Amino acid sequence: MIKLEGIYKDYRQGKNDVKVLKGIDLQVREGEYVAIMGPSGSGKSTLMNIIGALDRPTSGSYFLDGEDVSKLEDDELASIRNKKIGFIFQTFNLLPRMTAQRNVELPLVYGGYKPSIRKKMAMEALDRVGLTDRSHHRPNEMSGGQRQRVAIARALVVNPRILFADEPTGNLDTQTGEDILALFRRLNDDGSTVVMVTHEHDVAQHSRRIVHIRDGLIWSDETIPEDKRAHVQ
Amino acid sequence: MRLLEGITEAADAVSHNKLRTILSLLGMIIGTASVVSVMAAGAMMSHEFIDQADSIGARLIVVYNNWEISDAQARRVFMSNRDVDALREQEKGALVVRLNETNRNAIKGSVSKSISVRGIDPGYWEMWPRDFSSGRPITQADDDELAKVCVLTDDYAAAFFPEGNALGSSLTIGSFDYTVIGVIARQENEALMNDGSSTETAFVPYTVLERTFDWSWSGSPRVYELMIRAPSVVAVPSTAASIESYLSRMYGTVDGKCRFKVEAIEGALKAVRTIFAAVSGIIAFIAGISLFVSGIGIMNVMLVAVSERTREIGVRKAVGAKSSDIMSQFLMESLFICLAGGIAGIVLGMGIARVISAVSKWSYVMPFNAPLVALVVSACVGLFFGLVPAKNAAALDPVTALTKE
Repeated sequence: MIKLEGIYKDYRQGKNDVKVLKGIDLQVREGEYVAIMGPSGSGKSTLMNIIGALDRPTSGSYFLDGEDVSKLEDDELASIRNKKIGFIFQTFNLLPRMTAQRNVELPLVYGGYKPSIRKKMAMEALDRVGLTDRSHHRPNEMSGGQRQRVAIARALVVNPRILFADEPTGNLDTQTGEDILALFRRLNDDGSTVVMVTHEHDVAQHSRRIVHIRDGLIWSDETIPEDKRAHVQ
Repeated sequence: MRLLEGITEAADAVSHNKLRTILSLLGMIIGTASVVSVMAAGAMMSHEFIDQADSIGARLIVVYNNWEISDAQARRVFMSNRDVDALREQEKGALVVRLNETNRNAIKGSVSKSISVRGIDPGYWEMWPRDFSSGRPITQADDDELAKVCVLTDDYAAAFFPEGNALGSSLTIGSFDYTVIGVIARQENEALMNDGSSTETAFVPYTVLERTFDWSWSGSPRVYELMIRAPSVVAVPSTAASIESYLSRMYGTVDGKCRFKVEAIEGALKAVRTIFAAVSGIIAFIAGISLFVSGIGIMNVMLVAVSERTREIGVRKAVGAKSSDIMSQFLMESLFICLAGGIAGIVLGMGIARVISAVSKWSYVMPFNAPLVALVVSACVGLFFGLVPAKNAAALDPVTALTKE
């Protein structure tokens, strides 16, 4: 479903080009749960941005569902993100003035859905993360864990091909983090493809496959046997 | 994004920062308020002026032969009394007065003077109201009976009748004797009495003067000049046009020109209108500057909003907002701010117009297009000055926007 071939990414910094990604080849199949790990500066965030269609590689091809998205225009990328990708951020990135339900509706607004359908879909997504009773609360009236659940509902609402989580537990206490990871696990068991970026080994152990990035290259790519996966309550 | 969606979201975003928004709006409010109040004051002033302008002939249309069409080009034609009847029939509500003037010698005893004899229809003094120091004006009955009566001015009455017994006395004008039936008082504001008469004018019934001419050579009496008072100042151009079209129809045109001059005596009115237009122009300019300055203020507020909400823009783009979605969102916001300011300004401007009306004792007039103009202008300010911030917002790279602290 995801197929990266020879991905390079350079950034201009002053007079010099900094090579961040130096030829990444990676495939992710439907229903996988992949953790991307690596120290800061390894290029994992850049890789994440490219896979998430937020950014384009300098060279190389990125096939998403068989479509080469590495050379699309900004608005075409926006449409890909809208329909196929659900983002979950470390800092939740909810819009503070909007209720949980409105936040969840946001991708549907840009997808051109009718208000009545939007509301129904948003409530369904909130139900999947167990937050129907919080639909009219604003982010500042919710706990960190609840906010992240709203963010997950927002990512789920369009039924994306992939869920992208960037350090999803980074701003949460251990117990709440465990709850969120359990939720990802359940979503994955239900068929969602999950790609998660993390630098915490414990968090990565929840996935089925760990890809290590170092100096812009894939350092290792290993599958976690089911019995070695982190235990979930 | 749908319109309603955009409006609610804009309202929401704007209300989030009330004080800042209101401060930035002050210029907008003042600008639109001045546009509205100046336009209203202008309308009130011109209404007031139209009332006063009436006395100086603002409704007057004069019709006479167009001498520019020379005999070489066309046989000269004249209006007839039939045309006068037809025009009176056609222009209901207008006052049509015939005028004929000639120089005659007037003699009383040993005093002999050349005077200007003006034959007039009785409506003449309705058009040019005059105070009579004694006697009465010429009436329709005088005309019907072909009464040889005349009205003199104070000066000439005194010149012919030094003893002050002019009224009822007889004065020989040309070859006929006329009885003096009225004496016109000296006009305070001579310059304003723009009927073209002078102290040397003697007024006589129109038909009486007409009969003193020998028309046998021309077949029928000619009408040399008409003075027509339109029903209102506003109706002057349309009345003049319909008179001209009647005359063109009756007598044809020469090189596309009517054989008669149909002239609206609007000179004085025009002068005042010009002055007023200049004054409104200056005030409009000041209002324009204040709108411009407020536009810059709005631009500043929007730039700050875009920079404060960079992360929000990043999130929106991440979940699928296109550049055009972000652009229209921020344009909608600045439009919303400006329209809110515009509406507040219109309300304030209406209040100011009320105060102007109360202070000046002018009757309150609010031209329907004043609030409209203010609304359109404020919308334009919003769109124009919101463009740069909205473009900045739309151009943000999602990755950069998302990582901004």
